Amino acid sequence: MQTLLPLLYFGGLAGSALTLRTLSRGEGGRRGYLYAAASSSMLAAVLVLGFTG
Amino acid sequence: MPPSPATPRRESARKGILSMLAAMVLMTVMNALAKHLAAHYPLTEVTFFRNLFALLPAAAMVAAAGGRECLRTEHRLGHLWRAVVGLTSMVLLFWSYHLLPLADAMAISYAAPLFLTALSVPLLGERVGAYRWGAVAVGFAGVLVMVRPGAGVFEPGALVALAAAVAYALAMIAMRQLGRTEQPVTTVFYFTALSTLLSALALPFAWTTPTWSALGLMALMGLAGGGSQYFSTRAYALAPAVVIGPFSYSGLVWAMLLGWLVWGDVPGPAMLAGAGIVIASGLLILLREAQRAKVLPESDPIGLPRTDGARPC
Repeated sequence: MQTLLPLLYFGGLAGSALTLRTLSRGEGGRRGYLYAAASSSMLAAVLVLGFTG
Repeated sequence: MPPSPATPRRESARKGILSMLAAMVLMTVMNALAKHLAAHYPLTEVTFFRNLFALLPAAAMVAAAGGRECLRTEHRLGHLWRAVVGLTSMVLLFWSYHLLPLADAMAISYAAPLFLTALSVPLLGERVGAYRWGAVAVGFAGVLVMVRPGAGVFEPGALVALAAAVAYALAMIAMRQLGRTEQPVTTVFYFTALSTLLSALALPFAWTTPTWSALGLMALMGLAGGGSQYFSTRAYALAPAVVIGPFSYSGLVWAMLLGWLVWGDVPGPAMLAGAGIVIASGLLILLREAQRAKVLPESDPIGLPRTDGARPC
């Protein structure tokens, strides 16, 4: 768990940054949705783990 | 009898004023919640949740304005800079709410338009005449009355609130530059999204797991902050800055009321006098900007994001 949390956290942040970059370029489609889904899942997992200890 | 041509404009101004009043009520609620939460949780965490929950109203604004097309931009670095200075201002402001009574911190932060006028000379290359320099000087005298420097030492809370005002002035300059090409909704969305990401970077260094009730308050704070941004953006879209701007000072009345009801804080005479001077000088600058905008159509009134050149979503 100790190693998973930073991985999910930094992965989620990087994925969110990529999502914003995709949106700002007016690109979208499958790649944009993939970034958004992956990053929000990772960050949601971090929050759940953070809350449940 | 048919309605006079002035009626729609008057109706639009009325709606704009009501929107700004609603924005100020929501902003004061957000500030009061931030003050309460900052007493129990790290500042960076409070800021993160404020931005995270404000993403909901920001996304709703984007959806209402035309969807993903509104998010296309060529100014990624401009948005990043606006988020960095805006977030710095927010953290400092929340810190000052923790250190000072709510109304005192808000009153000092009203010095931001004075810093904006002073900084617009070196950063925007604007010409500021004697009239506005005079108003800035009077305004800073009002700030001195509020922060009461004693024996060469400023109160730390007052210094933090002043630093927040400087950072907010830099954010206003960034908004002004972005406003030449970007829609307000684009700026609001990227500010909220990038601020969420940037404030998330600090979470591993300072984290206290919130209780469910605190999380509820944080959600309310974020929604109030996002709602405040929505209503103020709508206000400036409905009526000119010179009509809307003065009503942004109504926040101080709500802050005094909430500060008294929740924390029993009553602003002293020096704070009230100083706030009056700062607000009067802010209004003078606003009026002068409006006069110049009539004479020189290419100049942009203070506080109004200029969107004439902005592409539609």
